[in-house]
Amino acid sequence: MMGWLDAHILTLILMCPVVGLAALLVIPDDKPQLVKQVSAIASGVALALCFRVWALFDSSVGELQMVERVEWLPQAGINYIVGVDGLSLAMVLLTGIVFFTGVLTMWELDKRVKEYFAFTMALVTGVFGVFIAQDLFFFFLFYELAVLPMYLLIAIWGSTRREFAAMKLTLFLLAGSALLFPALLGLAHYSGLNTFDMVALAEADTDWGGLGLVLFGFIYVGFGVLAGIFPFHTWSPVGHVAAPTAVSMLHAGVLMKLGAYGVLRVGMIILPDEMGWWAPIIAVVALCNILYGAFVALGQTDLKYVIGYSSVSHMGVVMLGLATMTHAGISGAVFQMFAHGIMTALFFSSVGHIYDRTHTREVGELGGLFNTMPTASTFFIVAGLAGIGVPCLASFWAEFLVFVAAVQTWPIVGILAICGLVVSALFVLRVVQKTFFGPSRDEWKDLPDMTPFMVTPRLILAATLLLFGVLPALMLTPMSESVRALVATLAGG
Amino acid sequence: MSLAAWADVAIGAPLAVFFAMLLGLRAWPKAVVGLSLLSATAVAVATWMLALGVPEEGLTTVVEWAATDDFTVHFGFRLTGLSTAMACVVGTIHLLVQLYSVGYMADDPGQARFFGILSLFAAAMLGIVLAADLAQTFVAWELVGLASYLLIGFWSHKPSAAQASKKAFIMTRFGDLGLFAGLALLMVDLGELRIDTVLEAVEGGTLANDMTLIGLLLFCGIAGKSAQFPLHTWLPDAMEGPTPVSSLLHSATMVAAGVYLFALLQPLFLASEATQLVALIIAVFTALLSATVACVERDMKRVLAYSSISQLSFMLMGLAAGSAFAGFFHLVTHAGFKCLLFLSAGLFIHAAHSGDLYDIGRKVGRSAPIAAIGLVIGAISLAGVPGFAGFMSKELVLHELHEHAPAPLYWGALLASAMTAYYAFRLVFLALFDPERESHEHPADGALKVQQAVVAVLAVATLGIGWIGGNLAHHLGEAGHPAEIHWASLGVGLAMGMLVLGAGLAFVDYARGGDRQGSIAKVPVMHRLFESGWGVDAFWRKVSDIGIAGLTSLALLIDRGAVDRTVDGTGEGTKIAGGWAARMQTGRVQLYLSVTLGLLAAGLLWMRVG
Repeated sequence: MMGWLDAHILTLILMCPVVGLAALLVIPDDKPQLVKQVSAIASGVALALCFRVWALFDSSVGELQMVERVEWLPQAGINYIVGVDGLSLAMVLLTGIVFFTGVLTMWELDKRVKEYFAFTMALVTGVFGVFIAQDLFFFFLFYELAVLPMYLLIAIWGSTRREFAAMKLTLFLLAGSALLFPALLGLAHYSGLNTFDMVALAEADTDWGGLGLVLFGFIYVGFGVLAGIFPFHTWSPVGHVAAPTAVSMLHAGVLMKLGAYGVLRVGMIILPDEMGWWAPIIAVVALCNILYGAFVALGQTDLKYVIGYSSVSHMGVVMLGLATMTHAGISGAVFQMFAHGIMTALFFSSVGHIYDRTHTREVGELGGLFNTMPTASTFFIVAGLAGIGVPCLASFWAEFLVFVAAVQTWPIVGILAICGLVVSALFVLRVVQKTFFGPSRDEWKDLPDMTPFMVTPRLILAATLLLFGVLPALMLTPMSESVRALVATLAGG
Repeated sequence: MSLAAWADVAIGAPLAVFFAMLLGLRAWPKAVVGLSLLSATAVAVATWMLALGVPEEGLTTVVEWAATDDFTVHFGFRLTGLSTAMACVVGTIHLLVQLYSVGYMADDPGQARFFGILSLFAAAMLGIVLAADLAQTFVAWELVGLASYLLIGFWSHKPSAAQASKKAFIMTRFGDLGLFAGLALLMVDLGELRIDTVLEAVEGGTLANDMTLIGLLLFCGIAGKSAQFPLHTWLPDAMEGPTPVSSLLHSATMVAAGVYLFALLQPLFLASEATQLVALIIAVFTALLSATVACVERDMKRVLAYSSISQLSFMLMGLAAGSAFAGFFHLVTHAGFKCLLFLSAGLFIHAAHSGDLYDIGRKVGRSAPIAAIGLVIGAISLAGVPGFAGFMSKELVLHELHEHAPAPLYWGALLASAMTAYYAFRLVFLALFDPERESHEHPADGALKVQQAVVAVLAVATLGIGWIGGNLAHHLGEAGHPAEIHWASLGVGLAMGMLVLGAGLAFVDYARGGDRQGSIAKVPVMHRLFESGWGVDAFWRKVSDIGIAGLTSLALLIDRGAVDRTVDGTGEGTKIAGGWAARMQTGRVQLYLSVTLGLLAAGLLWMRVG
């Protein structure tokens, strides 16, 4: 039993939300509690399986592990191939954690409960799929599957200008897909291999010529849109603001990572030489993200806009790490994807709680919340501290690795990026001061603090940040071999 | 127990208290306070064991903490004479401050939170002191910043406290940019930041990067943490925190961290004459600037704060002039007498319900005997009266400056020490010798038994601390007799002259009745300049209001006006184009046919031409 389970563990993870979705569809509409319980079980099992993957993972191997391969459409070179390596392992765990805590966070939802959780399941299926797929066709399929439910989730359950935001987000991401689709077909076709197998494509010694640069450009911009690269980022804060709490968590926590992960998995691994050409551009754009995102965040008054733009800034750290093309930089980038995912999930889940109680997210209307809601405030402050790179929280190591690596590869960019640390400290502490400190306002004096149930998901997120902040090797050791192999490929050209 | 185990205790025990508080123990404040005291005692014992047990050649233990192919971060302890001596100072002062706080914070609803964060503060500071790797130092350095942020803003419902804590964090973070950049350059160069490796590379001259650049960058971090010009303005505002916090922050933690880092990496700073000179100039200038402000401040804690800035400069002068001993000795003596001054001030402020020196003089004065004795001993140590703590160490610093620094800097330091004497005695005369004091029958500080005991212990300790110079020098492994004072030298004579000048003027100004406004008030321009802190604070407000806010508005303008406008414009444009195209859908077949034929004709023509 265990053996069979371990052999198919990735497909099983993928099946958790699918089975959950199927189960939800047969539950009658008038039993919202049952819907939530089923969702919690599906996500809980998925999380448990993610831990199992983590335990099974052999850190001394750089290649794909736990690979499953099923022939699907061999004539077209399309096969179902899944597997994880050091680069995707952290992403799978991240998705598991955000999925589970996201379901718990939405326990108080009372509007069209069944549909909401059903769409969430579909979205998460797509996300898990992208992180484990090793076939370009399935990669793209899952990618689209992850992106499309966002439209409905925001348009139906959202707040502020939700229809506009949902439309903007969808059009933006589809524009990205429009670049990706030809690029992926191009990879499969012009490699001469007529296969979508990503490992085969990466190992083939194809001479792409100038076409490779164009394909890489399409991939960078196409996926980059989802990662919020400047100047294609404006969909993201608007989307965050409009989305309901757990959707923001998934959106900022996991979906934006899909973009960066796509650049890494499809762009850098399959087209390493082209990466060398694009790297300076990616680095400069990433620097724009870091500094510009932080300054725009400083000018925001809506809590969710602040976090939305902080994500733009923090995703710049990811892209900067990738652009260094060094072991430390890429490790830091993957670490940052994980850390930022957990951190923003905590951010949004705390803001969601505050919004549910006060029905406002305007910094100017809040104030003194720490006096009445110390627990809820503490969670936000912890996320904020992670956001400004306070040590012993996971993001510190990610930023540390990336910035030092950046100083090594692009000294000027690196030093300027370090300056972003002051701006991010400014916008986080400003918000903390105005929202939580100061005297209590009369209208918030009688707000209840969090119940233990509501504390649970946030505590999981905060504890994860702390765990990887104190023991960074937990994250760095498993990915080390895979990153080493990638760096060797990048240097080979 | 092995030495490393004692180091584990010193850092682990207070951390455990912090996390216990965070994870729910704060519901039982008494338990947190008890645990916290227990851990503080353990820390004090552990640090003393470290200092007594450290072998002469030192002891370093490291394990890998975060490893990549490009560079590695280690975690471990580097126990040397310097680090264990500093740990002792931190452990001891921390214990005294915790004891004092038991009484001081007894009625505060946030008592548990207070003791938890205070413990974190100590753990982080010891983390800096005992670290074996500069990256680890940086981790602890930032944690010290975090703990001070939480403590300065402890009464977060006070807007001024929330503001001050933010200011402290941001301004030190500003300096930390330099520190981080400097460390990154070192890291890129060496592949690791173990202190031993760095010092070896400095001695061997094998660093690829420019030593001056690295030194100056690191000095930015030190200037931020140790409140040197122009990053010093957060420190006086940090008085918004509870008094025990100020006391710990000013004596053994936070501000001392910068000086300690300088002492630790002294060879690196001295390797470049440019860095050395910049450090000396900034230190002397800061000493003068902050001493002038201390001479006119009315708030007791703010006088002490500016005095701290000035004294930190003296420590840096000693270190930058080239003596490893003089600067550090001044750090130790200052930790003692400044802690004493703050804790005494706490008693005065508690009794007077005001921090204003004139209020304290009128309402309390000598009716608080223990506080008064503490204040007098602290002040004469600060002023540098021979035989007292401050004299011993400051004399050594001045001697070093005289020997190794350009003459103008030495004269600047002498002037600053004259002003030190002036404001120290001004403090005493204003607080204790007010002719219009309302009489009290009972001692005003009678109820605060624990606090009084702590102040009394510290007062006695401060009397003794000046005489341990020889032992300290021996512990640090300094050759020769660096702690010896050449009594019959011109330097001591000059210093005495400065003391008499400063103290005498203070006596004339404040001890003989009259309007007691001081000599400086007679020159309004100067008084205004000093009172405003030479406009440095205003300068930073301008930077914030114009620079940061300007960049923010610019970014917002670009984002809304250009980037997002283009995006939305594309959407609108598509819609409009769609509208036009839709107009063709008239249902008139003739139109469709003519368009089709027209396009066909155009296509044929194009092919023919091609």
